[in-house]
Amino acid sequence: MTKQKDYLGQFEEIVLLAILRLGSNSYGTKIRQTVEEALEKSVSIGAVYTTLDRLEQKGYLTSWQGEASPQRGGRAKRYFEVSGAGEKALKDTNFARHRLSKGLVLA
Amino acid sequence: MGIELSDEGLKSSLQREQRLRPRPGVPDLEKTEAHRSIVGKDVEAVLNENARANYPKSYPPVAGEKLFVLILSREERRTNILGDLAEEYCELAEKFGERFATLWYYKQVAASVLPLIRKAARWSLLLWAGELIRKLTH
Repeated sequence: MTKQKDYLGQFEEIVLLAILRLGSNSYGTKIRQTVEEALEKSVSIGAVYTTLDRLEQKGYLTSWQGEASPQRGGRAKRYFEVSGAGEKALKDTNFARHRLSKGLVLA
Repeated sequence: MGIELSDEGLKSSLQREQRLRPRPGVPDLEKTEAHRSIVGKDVEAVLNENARANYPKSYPPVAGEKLFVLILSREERRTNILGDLAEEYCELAEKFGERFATLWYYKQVAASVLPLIRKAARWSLLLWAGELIRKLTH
Protein backbone atom coordinates (compact mmCIF):
# COMPACT_ATOMS: atom_id res chain seq x y z
CA MET A 1 0.00 0.00 0.00
CA THR A 2 1.56 3.30 -1.07
CA LYS A 3 1.94 6.07 1.50
CA GLN A 4 -0.30 9.09 1.03
CA LYS A 5 1.54 11.96 -0.59
CA ASP A 6 1.09 15.56 0.49
CA TYR A 7 1.36 18.37 -2.02
CA LEU A 8 1.91 22.00 -1.26
CA GLY A 9 0.48 25.15 -2.77
CA GLN A 10 2.88 27.43 -4.60
CA PHE A 11 3.23 30.00 -1.85
CA GLU A 12 3.31 27.33 0.86
CA GLU A 13 6.27 25.71 -0.86
CA ILE A 14 8.09 29.02 -1.16
CA VAL A 15 7.56 29.84 2.51
CA LEU A 16 8.82 26.41 3.61
CA LEU A 17 11.91 26.76 1.43
CA ALA A 18 12.57 30.22 2.86
CA ILE A 19 12.37 28.81 6.40
CA LEU A 20 14.79 25.99 5.51
CA ARG A 21 17.17 28.52 3.99
CA LEU A 22 17.04 30.82 7.04
CA GLY A 23 17.71 27.99 9.46
CA SER A 24 17.66 29.09 13.10
CA ASN A 25 16.96 32.74 12.26
CA SER A 26 13.52 31.98 10.90
CA TYR A 27 10.93 34.47 12.12
CA GLY A 28 8.25 36.62 10.49
CA THR A 29 10.33 39.56 9.29
CA LYS A 30 13.17 37.45 7.89
CA ILE A 31 10.79 34.99 6.22
CA ARG A 32 8.94 37.86 4.54
CA GLN A 33 12.17 39.49 3.36
CA THR A 34 13.58 36.21 2.03
CA VAL A 35 10.39 35.41 0.12
CA GLU A 36 10.21 38.97 -1.26
CA GLU A 37 13.82 38.76 -2.42
CA ALA A 38 13.25 35.40 -4.10
CA LEU A 39 10.01 36.39 -5.82
CA GLU A 40 11.30 39.88 -6.72
CA LYS A 41 7.94 41.38 -5.82
CA SER A 42 6.28 42.91 -2.76
CA VAL A 43 5.01 40.39 -0.20
CA SER A 44 2.76 41.38 2.68
CA ILE A 45 3.29 40.22 6.26
CA GLY A 46 -0.39 39.24 6.39
CA ALA A 47 -0.01 36.82 3.48
CA VAL A 48 3.09 35.30 5.09
CA TYR A 49 1.43 34.78 8.47
CA THR A 50 -1.75 33.39 6.91
CA THR A 51 0.41 30.79 5.16
CA LEU A 52 2.50 30.12 8.29
CA ASP A 53 -0.67 29.50 10.30
CA ARG A 54 -2.03 27.16 7.66
CA LEU A 55 1.23 25.21 7.46
CA GLU A 56 1.38 24.95 11.24
CA GLN A 57 -2.19 23.64 11.36
CA LYS A 58 -1.28 21.00 8.80
CA GLY A 59 1.68 19.98 10.96
CA TYR A 60 4.35 21.06 8.49
CA LEU A 61 5.80 23.66 10.85
CA THR A 62 6.56 23.97 14.52
CA SER A 63 6.98 27.31 16.24
CA TRP A 64 8.11 28.76 19.53
CA GLN A 65 8.23 32.16 21.18
CA GLY A 66 11.59 33.92 21.09
CA GLU A 67 13.10 36.99 22.68
CA ALA A 68 11.70 40.52 22.63
CA SER A 69 13.74 43.55 21.58
CA PRO A 70 13.46 47.34 21.74
CA GLN A 71 13.14 47.57 17.96
CA ARG A 72 9.99 45.48 18.28
CA GLY A 73 8.53 47.65 21.02
CA GLY A 74 9.21 44.95 23.54
CA ARG A 75 7.22 42.31 21.62
CA ALA A 76 8.53 38.78 21.31
CA LYS A 77 9.53 37.07 18.07
CA ARG A 78 8.00 33.82 16.93
CA TYR A 79 10.45 31.37 15.36
CA PHE A 80 9.45 28.67 12.90
CA GLU A 81 10.97 25.35 11.92
CA VAL A 82 10.01 22.87 9.21
CA SER A 83 8.85 19.57 10.67
CA GLY A 84 9.44 16.09 9.30
CA ALA A 85 6.02 16.12 7.69
CA GLY A 86 6.83 19.47 6.10
CA GLU A 87 10.05 18.15 4.61
CA LYS A 88 8.19 15.15 3.25
CA ALA A 89 5.57 17.40 1.67
CA LEU A 90 8.35 19.45 0.07
CA LYS A 91 9.97 16.31 -1.31
CA ASP A 92 6.67 14.97 -2.67
CA THR A 93 5.85 18.29 -4.34
CA ASN A 94 9.32 18.55 -5.81
CA PHE A 95 9.16 14.96 -7.06
CA ALA A 96 5.80 15.55 -8.76
CA ARG A 97 7.14 18.69 -10.43
CA HIS A 98 10.22 16.83 -11.61
CA ARG A 99 8.12 14.01 -13.09
CA LEU A 100 5.88 16.46 -14.92
CA SER A 101 8.67 18.65 -16.26
CA LYS A 102 11.00 15.80 -17.31
CA GLY A 103 11.88 16.08 -20.96
CA LEU A 104 10.22 19.46 -21.39
CA VAL A 105 12.26 22.34 -22.71
CA LEU A 106 11.13 25.54 -21.05
CA ALA A 107 12.02 28.86 -22.68
CA MET B 1 -11.56 59.40 32.74
CA GLY B 2 -13.15 56.29 34.21
CA ILE B 3 -13.73 53.18 32.17
CA GLU B 4 -16.22 50.52 33.10
CA LEU B 5 -14.76 47.14 32.13
CA SER B 6 -15.81 43.68 33.11
CA ASP B 7 -12.42 42.13 32.39
CA GLU B 8 -10.23 42.92 35.40
CA GLY B 9 -7.01 42.15 33.57
CA LEU B 10 -7.81 44.52 30.73
CA LYS B 11 -8.98 47.20 33.15
CA SER B 12 -5.74 47.11 35.10
CA SER B 13 -3.75 47.11 31.83
CA LEU B 14 -5.55 50.24 30.66
CA GLN B 15 -5.14 51.94 34.02
CA ARG B 16 -1.43 51.12 34.05
CA GLU B 17 -1.09 52.33 30.49
CA GLN B 18 -2.75 55.64 31.31
CA ARG B 19 -0.47 56.19 34.30
CA LEU B 20 2.65 55.46 32.26
CA ARG B 21 1.74 57.47 29.20
CA PRO B 22 4.24 60.36 29.17
CA ARG B 23 3.02 62.23 26.08
CA PRO B 24 -0.36 63.97 26.16
CA GLY B 25 -2.51 64.14 23.08
CA VAL B 26 -1.66 60.66 21.81
CA PRO B 27 -4.80 59.33 20.13
CA ASP B 28 -6.70 56.78 22.18
CA LEU B 29 -8.90 53.92 21.06
CA GLU B 30 -12.59 54.56 21.40
CA LYS B 31 -13.61 52.87 24.60
CA THR B 32 -16.74 51.27 23.16
CA GLU B 33 -17.97 47.79 23.94
CA ALA B 34 -17.40 46.69 20.35
CA HIS B 35 -13.81 47.91 20.40
CA ARG B 36 -13.06 46.27 23.73
CA SER B 37 -14.41 42.95 22.56
CA ILE B 38 -12.39 43.09 19.38
CA VAL B 39 -9.17 44.56 20.70
CA GLY B 40 -9.01 42.58 23.90
CA LYS B 41 -5.83 42.36 25.83
CA ASP B 42 -3.53 43.76 23.19
CA VAL B 43 -4.70 47.31 23.85
CA GLU B 44 -1.74 47.74 26.13
CA ALA B 45 0.68 46.48 23.50
CA VAL B 46 -0.64 48.97 20.96
CA LEU B 47 -1.09 52.03 23.09
CA ASN B 48 1.52 51.55 25.73
CA GLU B 49 3.74 54.58 25.70
CA ASN B 50 6.18 52.68 27.84
CA ALA B 51 6.70 50.25 24.93
CA ARG B 52 7.10 53.20 22.60
CA ALA B 53 9.73 54.64 24.90
CA ASN B 54 11.69 51.43 24.28
CA TYR B 55 12.04 52.05 20.56
CA PRO B 56 15.59 53.25 19.92
CA LYS B 57 14.81 56.20 17.64
CA SER B 58 11.52 55.97 15.78
CA TYR B 59 8.31 53.97 16.05
CA PRO B 60 5.56 52.88 13.72
CA PRO B 61 2.42 54.96 13.13
CA VAL B 62 -0.22 54.42 15.79
CA ALA B 63 -3.09 54.37 13.29
CA GLY B 64 -1.43 51.56 11.36
CA GLU B 65 -0.97 49.49 14.50
CA LYS B 66 -4.59 50.09 15.54
CA LEU B 67 -5.79 48.76 12.20
CA PHE B 68 -3.86 45.54 12.69
CA VAL B 69 -5.19 45.19 16.22
CA LEU B 70 -8.73 45.49 14.87
CA ILE B 71 -8.38 42.93 12.12
CA LEU B 72 -6.27 40.33 13.95
CA SER B 73 -8.28 38.07 16.17
CA ARG B 74 -5.54 36.10 17.88
CA GLU B 75 -3.69 38.01 20.58
CA GLU B 76 -0.48 36.14 19.95
CA ARG B 77 -0.54 36.81 16.23
CA ARG B 78 -1.15 40.48 16.91
CA THR B 79 1.95 40.64 19.05
CA ASN B 80 4.07 38.71 16.54
CA ILE B 81 2.95 40.69 13.50
CA LEU B 82 3.12 44.08 15.20
CA GLY B 83 6.59 43.22 16.48
CA ASP B 84 7.81 42.10 13.05
CA LEU B 85 6.46 45.22 11.38
CA ALA B 86 7.93 47.45 14.08
CA GLU B 87 11.35 45.85 13.65
CA GLU B 88 11.33 46.33 9.90
CA TYR B 89 9.95 49.85 10.29
CA CYS B 90 12.88 50.80 12.50
CA GLU B 91 15.36 49.31 10.01
CA LEU B 92 13.82 51.21 7.10
CA ALA B 93 13.55 54.44 9.09
CA GLU B 94 17.25 54.23 9.85
CA LYS B 95 18.21 53.55 6.24
CA PHE B 96 15.73 55.63 4.27
CA GLY B 97 14.04 57.96 6.70
CA GLU B 98 10.76 57.95 8.63
CA ARG B 99 8.58 59.11 5.76
CA PHE B 100 9.63 56.16 3.58
CA ALA B 101 9.18 53.77 6.51
CA THR B 102 5.70 55.12 7.27
CA LEU B 103 4.64 54.73 3.63
CA TRP B 104 5.98 51.19 3.65
CA TYR B 105 4.08 50.43 6.87
CA TYR B 106 0.73 51.61 5.48
CA LYS B 107 1.40 49.65 2.29
CA GLN B 108 1.86 46.56 4.46
CA VAL B 109 -1.40 47.32 6.28
CA ALA B 110 -3.29 47.72 3.00
CA ALA B 111 -1.79 44.55 1.49
CA SER B 112 -2.32 42.48 4.65
CA VAL B 113 -5.91 43.45 5.36
CA LEU B 114 -7.53 41.19 2.79
CA PRO B 115 -5.72 37.90 3.57
CA LEU B 116 -6.07 38.45 7.30
CA ILE B 117 -9.72 39.41 7.14
CA ARG B 118 -10.46 36.44 4.91
CA LYS B 119 -8.77 34.17 7.42
CA ALA B 120 -10.46 35.76 10.42
CA ALA B 121 -13.82 35.75 8.65
CA ARG B 122 -13.59 32.05 8.02
CA TRP B 123 -13.57 31.41 11.75
CA SER B 124 -15.44 34.26 13.30
CA LEU B 125 -17.98 35.60 10.80
CA LEU B 126 -20.83 33.56 12.17
CA LEU B 127 -19.91 34.42 15.75
CA TRP B 128 -19.66 38.11 14.90
CA ALA B 129 -22.96 38.08 13.01
CA GLY B 130 -24.65 36.33 15.91
CA GLU B 131 -23.25 38.85 18.36
CA LEU B 132 -24.34 41.76 16.15
CA ILE B 133 -27.87 40.40 15.82
CA ARG B 134 -28.03 39.91 19.56
CA LYS B 135 -26.97 43.52 20.17
CA LEU B 136 -29.36 44.92 17.57
CA THR B 137 -32.32 43.03 18.89
CA HIS B 138 -31.50 43.67 22.55
